[in-house]
Amino acid sequence: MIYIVCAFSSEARVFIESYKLKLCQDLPYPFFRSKDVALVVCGLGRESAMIATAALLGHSKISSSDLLVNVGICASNKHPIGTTLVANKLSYRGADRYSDILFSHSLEEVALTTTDEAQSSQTDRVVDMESFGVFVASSRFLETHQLLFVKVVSDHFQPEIVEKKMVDRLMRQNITTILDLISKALSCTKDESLFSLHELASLNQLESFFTKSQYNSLLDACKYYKLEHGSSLPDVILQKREQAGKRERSVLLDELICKLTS
Amino acid sequence: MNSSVNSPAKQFSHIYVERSVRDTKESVEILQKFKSAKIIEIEHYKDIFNRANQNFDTQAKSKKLILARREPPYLQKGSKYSDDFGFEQFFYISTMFGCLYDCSYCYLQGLYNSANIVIFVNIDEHLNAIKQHLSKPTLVAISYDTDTLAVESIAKHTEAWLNLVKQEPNLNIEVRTKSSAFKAIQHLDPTSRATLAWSLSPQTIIDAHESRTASLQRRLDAIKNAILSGWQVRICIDPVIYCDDFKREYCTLIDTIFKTIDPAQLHSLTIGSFRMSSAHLKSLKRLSRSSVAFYPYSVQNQTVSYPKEIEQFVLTTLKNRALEYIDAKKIRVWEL
Repeated sequence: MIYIVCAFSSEARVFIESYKLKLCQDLPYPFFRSKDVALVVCGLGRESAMIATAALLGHSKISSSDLLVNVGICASNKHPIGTTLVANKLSYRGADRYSDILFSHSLEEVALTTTDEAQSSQTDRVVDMESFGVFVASSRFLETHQLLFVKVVSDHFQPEIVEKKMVDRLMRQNITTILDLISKALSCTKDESLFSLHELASLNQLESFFTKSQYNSLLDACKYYKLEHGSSLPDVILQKREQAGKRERSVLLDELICKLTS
Repeated sequence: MNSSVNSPAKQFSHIYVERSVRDTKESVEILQKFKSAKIIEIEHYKDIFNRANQNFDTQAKSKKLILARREPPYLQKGSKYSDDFGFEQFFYISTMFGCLYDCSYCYLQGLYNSANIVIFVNIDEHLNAIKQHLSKPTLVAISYDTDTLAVESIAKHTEAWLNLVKQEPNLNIEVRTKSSAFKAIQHLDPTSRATLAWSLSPQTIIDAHESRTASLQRRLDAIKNAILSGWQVRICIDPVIYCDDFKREYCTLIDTIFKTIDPAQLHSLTIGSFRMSSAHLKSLKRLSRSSVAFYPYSVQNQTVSYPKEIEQFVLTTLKNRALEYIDAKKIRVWEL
């Protein structure tokens, strides 16, 4: 699943169209989703971003194959307007956070500073108003490589020139680049399930057959088998068991573990 | 087949540097070797290395370098899982955290949250710390928590240690490696108080469990070179990973070693089967990266190892095979 957090509708519109997202009423924010993508428009500022991100992820069933993307505009006087940047460091009032960028890409990476108000005074920093809040909330749910911060430069610290139409245009101009980046970041996330659904169902049945400690030993041996051989568990492991005495269970466990690990 | 890491410059897309060491000579020298890497200033290495919610497995595919200054204490007592080779004092010192390599059975996965590598650029302070403990013969393991030689072309820590060995008559070091990077120290004078110890495994085990390390052949070539250059070399068949075809794989390894290396010129051969603290194994299981984590080991005194009959079979089989080539006095069998 890809989770997207934008501050404004004008930042979000092109993603809603590209991913064919439908408006949902499940969150107290403008919220759009499809089977594989969910997008929330959090509104302006760090706190709004933090609350909306927490609401989005708290509302969802998170997995290790998910990716959260904070995408939007930023101000920089070092880059031409329309430049797409990737943030590798997020700062707010002296606190720093870091996402893991584990894929290669051709965009410039920057340290991004979150401020509480739109910046009209010149600074060497690249500045936005949401990213730190998104990081703080999302890092409670996801691992550091599952977070991606992409910003398009909208102005050189002249917030008064930034209009909805301009933002929409900037996002559309960069949409191919950003979608490509998202797909690269998504390729670094992974589905952790070692067992097939059929194997999981069969193992669940065995959980009540064995004691907890016996079951854990069997599960370890099954994991050993899967990681060593990469193939489906042998049928003898998965077959349904009738009730048995303590001694029989113990003998059976030894046999199964031996089969899986020898 | 795995390949040796010959070009560390291509290894790191990002380098995190503590602000306080950014301009030190050591950092500048290292950073010059990574002109295309993105440099990110940090306050403290723990802000990156000890972060919550990192994924070791995923990070291992794209390791990042961290340059930092380590605070004392630098010295640690030698681990009970390692051999002290009879020295009165046995320490280990980590001038790096993490490893360039990615061995699936390695305890570092249980020790650290991060697959990234920290190089402490204040190596001189580490070296000074050992000097006051050298009133009697002392062994220092400099590469138990990392593979120092693997990153010798980045940070010359092995060279720094070897220079100290020359000055300190009671200092003995072991440089253990799975690299083929002997050339990085070939220009130095060999000394009998520094042992270069190569860990060797059958190529099938290297392929399955020792990601990014040098191939067996390249390690053997490096060993030959080191011996020719006059260095004292130990071969470690350790840890032995018990597998389907254990006997054939490991006996062939011993045959291959002694077809290439003259046993008379080898300082010693160490044999040891896989062992680990229970706590580290628990962390390895959480990562679910390797079958090694899930073998039904025996547990004794918070240490896991193969069941006694398998461990004995492994050690006896390999010792007997090695005895066909090398004097018993040169063989050390490592048992807990």
